[in-house]
This record gives sequence, C-alpha cells and structure tokens, in this order.
Amino acid sequence: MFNIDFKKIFIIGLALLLPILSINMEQKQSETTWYNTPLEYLMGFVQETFYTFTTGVRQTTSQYLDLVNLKKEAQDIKEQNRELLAKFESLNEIQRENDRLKELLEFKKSTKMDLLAARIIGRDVIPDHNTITINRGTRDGIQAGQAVITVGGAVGFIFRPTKFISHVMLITDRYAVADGIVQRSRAHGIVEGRNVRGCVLQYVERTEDVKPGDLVVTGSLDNIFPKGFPLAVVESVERKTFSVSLKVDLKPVVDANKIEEVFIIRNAGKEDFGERFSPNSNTESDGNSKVSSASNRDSKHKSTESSKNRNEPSAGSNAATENKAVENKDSKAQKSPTPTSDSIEASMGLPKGIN
Amino acid sequence: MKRPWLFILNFFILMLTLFILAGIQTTFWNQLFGTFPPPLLWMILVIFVSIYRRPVSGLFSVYFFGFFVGTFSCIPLKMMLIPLLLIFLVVYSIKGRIFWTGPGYFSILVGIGTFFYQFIFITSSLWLEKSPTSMMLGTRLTELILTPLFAYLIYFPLNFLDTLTIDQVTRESGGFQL
Repeated sequence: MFNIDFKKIFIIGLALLLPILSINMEQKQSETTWYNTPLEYLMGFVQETFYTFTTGVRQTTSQYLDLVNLKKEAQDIKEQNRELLAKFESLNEIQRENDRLKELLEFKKSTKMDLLAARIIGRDVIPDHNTITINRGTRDGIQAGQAVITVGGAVGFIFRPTKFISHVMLITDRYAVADGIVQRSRAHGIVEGRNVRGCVLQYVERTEDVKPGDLVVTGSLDNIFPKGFPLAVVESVERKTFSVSLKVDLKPVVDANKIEEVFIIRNAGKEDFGERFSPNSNTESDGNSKVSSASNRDSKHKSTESSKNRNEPSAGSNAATENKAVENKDSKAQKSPTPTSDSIEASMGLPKGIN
Repeated sequence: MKRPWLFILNFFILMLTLFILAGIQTTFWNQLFGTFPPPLLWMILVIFVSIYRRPVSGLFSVYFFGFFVGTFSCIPLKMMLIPLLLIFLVVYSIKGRIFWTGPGYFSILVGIGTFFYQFIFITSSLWLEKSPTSMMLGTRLTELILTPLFAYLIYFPLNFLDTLTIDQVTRESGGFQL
C-alpha cells in the first residue's frame, strides 16, 4: 500500500540524531579523541605547508622591498654626497681665493709702493698680441706707463687707460720692452716680448756671464718698474760666432694666463727690491717664501698650502728686523680673527669682481 | 625701396653684434674654457658684410669693424686694416665666381677667409713690423676649425636681420658692381 523507503528514513533519522546526541556528549576541549587524531595530523600538515609557503613569499617580498628601499637610500646618500662635494669644492675655491687675496694684502703691506689692486676682466681679441684688460681706469688714478705687477713678478704696464678700464701690455707682447738685469752677474739688457710663452733679453754683451736658470730682474732705466723686481728666468743662452751680443731666451716668472688679480704701481716710492728676490735670500729667510724668484705662478697653490702650514706673512723679507716685524705681525694675526675675502677686498679697495 | 634709415639701423645692430661677439671671445670664452684658443667671432661678421653688401659700403663697413675691434687689442691700425682689405678682396672675388645662398656657403667662405687672414697677417707682420708675429700653429689651426662652425650658427640671426632691414639682399651677382 504505502511505498516506504526505510533506508532513506534511517539515514535521515541518523542524520538528525547525531547533533542531538552530541548535545548530551560530554567532551573536554583539551582532550583529543582517538578518531580526531589523524584528522588533526592532517590539518597540522596542511597548515604548516601553507604557513611555510606564505612565510617564504613574505620574506622574499620583504627582502625585495628592503633592497628597493636600500637602493633609494643609497641614491639619496649619493645625491647628498654630490651636493656636499660641490659645496666642498666651492668652499675650497673660496679658501684659495682667500689665500690669494691674503697674499696680495700682505705683499701690499710689506712694501712702501703705492699699489692699487685690480682684477683681470678680458684678454686680447687678436691672438698674436698679449694684452689684458683690468677693471681700473683713469677715475682710479691710472695713467699710461704705470707698471702692473703681481706678488710673484712683473706682469706688464698700462698702455691704454680709459675711464673705467685699462689695457695692460704684458711683457710677452711683441711690442713690450723693459729694462732687465741678470741678478747674479748684473749683466744689463733689454727684455723684449716674443710670444705668449717667452721673451728675449737683447743687447747683452757677448762677454757677459749669463747662464740658464739665472733670474732677470727689472732695472730702473725704463722708469716703469721698481728696481730688482723679478721679470723672467733665463731658459737658454746662445753665443753666435759672428754676433756682438748674446741670444738669451727668457721665460716670464708670471704666467699671465693663470693670474686673476694684479697690482698697479701708482707710486714706486723709490722702492728697491735689491736682493730680496734672489734664490739664496729666499731659502735663508723662511724656506717657504711665497715670492719664488725662479718659479712660475702655478706654484701659487704650493705657496697657499705653505701659508696654511705656517700662518706667516711673506713678501720675501730677509732682514733680521723685518723677520721680527713679521713675527710680531704673525702673533697679532694669530690673535685676531681670520679676515674674510670680503674684508680683504674692501681693505685693498678691490671692487666686487665678476666672481 | 625700404627706408634708408633701416640700412643705418642694420649697420648699428651689426656694430652692436660685433661688440658682443668680441666680448664673448675676449672675456666669456676665457671664463669658460680658460686658455683654449677662441674662434675669431668678429671675423664672421667681417666676412658676412663682405659677402652680402655692395663693394663700397661693404669695404667701409669692414674698415669700421676693424677699427672697432682694434679697441679690444693693442694691434696697430695698419695691421688691422691691411689684412682686412685683402680678406675683403679675396672673399669678394670668390663670391663673384662661386655663390649660393645658405649657411653652408657662408661657413665655407668664413673658413677660407680665416685661412687667408692667418696667412696675410703673418706676411704683413713680417713685412711691416719690427718684431713679427710667430707661427702659433696650434692656435691658428684651432681658430680655422672653430670659426666656420660658429659661423654656421651665427648666419641665421644675421640673415634674419638682413631680411628685415636691407632692401635688396645680395644674392646672385653678375660681375663687379658698385
């Protein structure tokens, strides 16, 4: 009559009974029953596997992220380093300028000449001529024929002053002439410019004693330069058979391509440098004289380094009294604060340059 | 015909350009490149005027430019004007034979003009000066290379100026014309 599926009823009843029975089953949470153990083993294995996998992925990702951050940090540090290096270089340049200006100031103080400082602002437009333009003119008291010097030696003379600027003919120009004396043997001659690299000493008698390495200093006949100021160094001497005079090639003491500031001698004050710039007097005085009589101006860097080491003024003093005066000045200088470039420029009357 | 005052304006602008180029050569170049030889920038203008002006006005313009450039140097006037006259003649005679428009032609002629300038200057110096100039091969070669390169760049603004201010811009020529 009724088509009853007992099997189905049983299964359904069991399915409903199990939860009801479990209500009454007292089970301690901390205990694992025998039928749960394999399941738990399986569960543990699965979870550990996933955990290991995700931990590995996370570690790898974080390492990558750390690398990226490190790289960024390294770039930032490099950028900072570059900026610091650039600042350091500019400070170095300021330091060099400071040393240079201090040197000029000390030279100016150590001499009785009336000097006017100036900056070089231009060169000659024709490469066959060697002239420079400075930022001083007739309104500063400049006149044609005034000598132009640096700490190391003679540079040239004013040949065309205007109101605001002046043209300086270097001693290496073909049209430049200066009275010269070989310091060692007192042989007299005329220094004529040849090209940017050198000059010649003309009209030196054949019998005169001139050797390579001799220092040629200014004489006083041309009434331009103070006497005894370094001009050039003898490079070679040639005695031609049928010639009355020697052929003496000179290399200027001052490389005009490397200087930036010069002095114009407004009044020489009968200054006579005498033996002040001779090589012997320089070694005896302090051994580190900034005014190297037989060297080029690219030794100015060495001289600035020596000034840092010694903290002594220079200008070729070799007399005992002058040394004492220098030492006194030095002790005062050590007590007083280091002058800045601006204050040095102001005290020298240098206008603000193009730097 | 365009107003004549435009021609005068053109001349003054060229003069100003000459001063600027000379200033760049004597001051700005040294600040950037130190003792490296600069190109003869003022020569570019001289040759431009030699090519693109009538002979008389061109020659006098060249003399004026030489006079102005002499203020930047201690060169005697004779050593400035004589080479410039010869350069003008060389450039003008080449232009009469071979001519085409464009910066390329201008650069070539500037190169030729610079070469002849060096040669003429050395010869004039040997002839006229007691203390003649030296060879300075390195400097002269550098000028010979750099000057035409800069001429190529400077041609465009100069040509533009001429288009604005000059009535009949010289192009083809059929012989000597005053």
